[in-house]
Amino acid sequence: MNIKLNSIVTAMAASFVILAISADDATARGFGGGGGGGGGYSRGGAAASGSFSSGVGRTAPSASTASSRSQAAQTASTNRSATAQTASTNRAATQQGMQSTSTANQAQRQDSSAENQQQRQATSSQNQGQRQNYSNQNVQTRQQTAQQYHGSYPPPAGYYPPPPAGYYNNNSWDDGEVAAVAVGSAAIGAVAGYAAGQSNTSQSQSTAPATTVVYTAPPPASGGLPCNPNTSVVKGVTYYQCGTNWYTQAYGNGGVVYMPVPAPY
Amino acid sequence: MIKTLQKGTRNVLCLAILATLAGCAEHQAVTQSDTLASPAAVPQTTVQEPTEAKDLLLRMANYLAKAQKFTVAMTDNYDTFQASGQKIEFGEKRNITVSRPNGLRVDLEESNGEKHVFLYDGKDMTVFNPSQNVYAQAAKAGGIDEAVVYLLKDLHMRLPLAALLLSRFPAEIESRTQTLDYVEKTTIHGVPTHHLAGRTETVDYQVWIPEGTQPLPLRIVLTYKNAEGQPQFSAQFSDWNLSPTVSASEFSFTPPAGSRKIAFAAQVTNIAPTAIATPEAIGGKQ
Repeated sequence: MNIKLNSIVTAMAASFVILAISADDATARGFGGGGGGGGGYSRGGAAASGSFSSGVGRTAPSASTASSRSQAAQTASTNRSATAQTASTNRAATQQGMQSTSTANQAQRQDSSAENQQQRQATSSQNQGQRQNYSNQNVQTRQQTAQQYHGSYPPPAGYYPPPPAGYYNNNSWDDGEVAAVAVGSAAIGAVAGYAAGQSNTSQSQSTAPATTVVYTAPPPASGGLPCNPNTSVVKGVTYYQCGTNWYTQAYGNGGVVYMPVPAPY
Repeated sequence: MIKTLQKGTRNVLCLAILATLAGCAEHQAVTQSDTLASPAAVPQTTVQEPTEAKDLLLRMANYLAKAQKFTVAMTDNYDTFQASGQKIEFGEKRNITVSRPNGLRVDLEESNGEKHVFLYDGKDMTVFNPSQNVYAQAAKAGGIDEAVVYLLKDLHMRLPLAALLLSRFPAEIESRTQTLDYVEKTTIHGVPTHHLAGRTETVDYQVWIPEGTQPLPLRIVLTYKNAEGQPQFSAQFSDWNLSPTVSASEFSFTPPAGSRKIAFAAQVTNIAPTAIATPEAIGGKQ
């Protein structure tokens, strides 16, 4: 009897374990998973740097930031101007129309006036909406650029005395944010302009550092590249060709990545 | 009279027994206290502990900066935010070897099993990925301080808590700290520690420093207060060894058979297609 009971209990326990495992699998597999929208989970971000300072939230603009803001502002200004001109043209046309229909009755004029007002209001609303959109885009661009900012920044004022004089008298050399490289897929790097200075030491051998913006690759077709590439070795360096695009491997802060480069020949 | 004497003797005996028991208890308490303090090889000698948070922090920083050689294991975890808004934690383990002024080695294993090795021998710094058998290398003279700053600032590579490796760590932490408080005295794995909390312009940090004559950090937590969701980075240190046996060969890199040299990502933009092939152009050696 006891043996039977034990067998039943054991069987039930085993069933629970199997069910639990199945449930885990279902959880893992059945609810979409993949935080990165199919590209796996990103290991990047501010905390990944493990640094005592962070570029996130700093406000010092870089040249690229200013350029980006300027371009966005110009675009917004151009669009606002064009929209305003359109509105003006519409109003002029409507006015001409009103003059040419001088024999029309007052009701018609009132209707026309009301229509014009509605049109102006609609155009005005559109303008406002566009301005808001561009304004939001500008803010987003500035925020994104600020997050990518790796440059130096004046040290914070605190009650502590200033540090001893040294050739590295700044507190931001380690504030770089780790690029978002998706787990489970290689990444393809794109290179953006970089305005922040390199280390201000005379001993530094670096020439012109660049911000590396690494983004999640499309679904990997071959080792993370967007195609099954033709591989070429030019003077010892391996290049990967996808259509007209060329890539080479490089070591970034998230590991080994593929970066676009000019054609080697 | 006899009764009185007997009663007195009995009382004296009782007192003696109680005193002996109390003494035993006291001795036991001391022994237990010693046992609690000993797991991390913290010396038993009585030391005058600083009482101010700033003194405790700088004592730790100076102690670390003056250590000519050490090895330590660091296990860390950090939060990441996904495009979906979900917060995901990753982890990794590092074995760090420092031999001032020119030797630094970091063996890293990420939570996904991926491994990387960083080496610096006073002339060249190398990052090697064994699974892909590729490495990047750059020349940098000057010592660990210069190499670490160059690695992070110019090459945009990642080395969490890199400031702890610098000989000028005391100045670094002091200049960045805007406020510092003593949170509490607590224990980590049985080791009595001071729990401090500091704030820099962009990062809030906490550090746990053991009592005793070896004030080496046991745990550090960083909070990125300006970043979305205020993600955290936390590190636990173990196996501090300030007198390891290290050889120069541990810090130099010999390319394994079939390995391939690649550039640092930060250098790729600088390298013209015709120049990228020349290892010397990126400061390396074949």
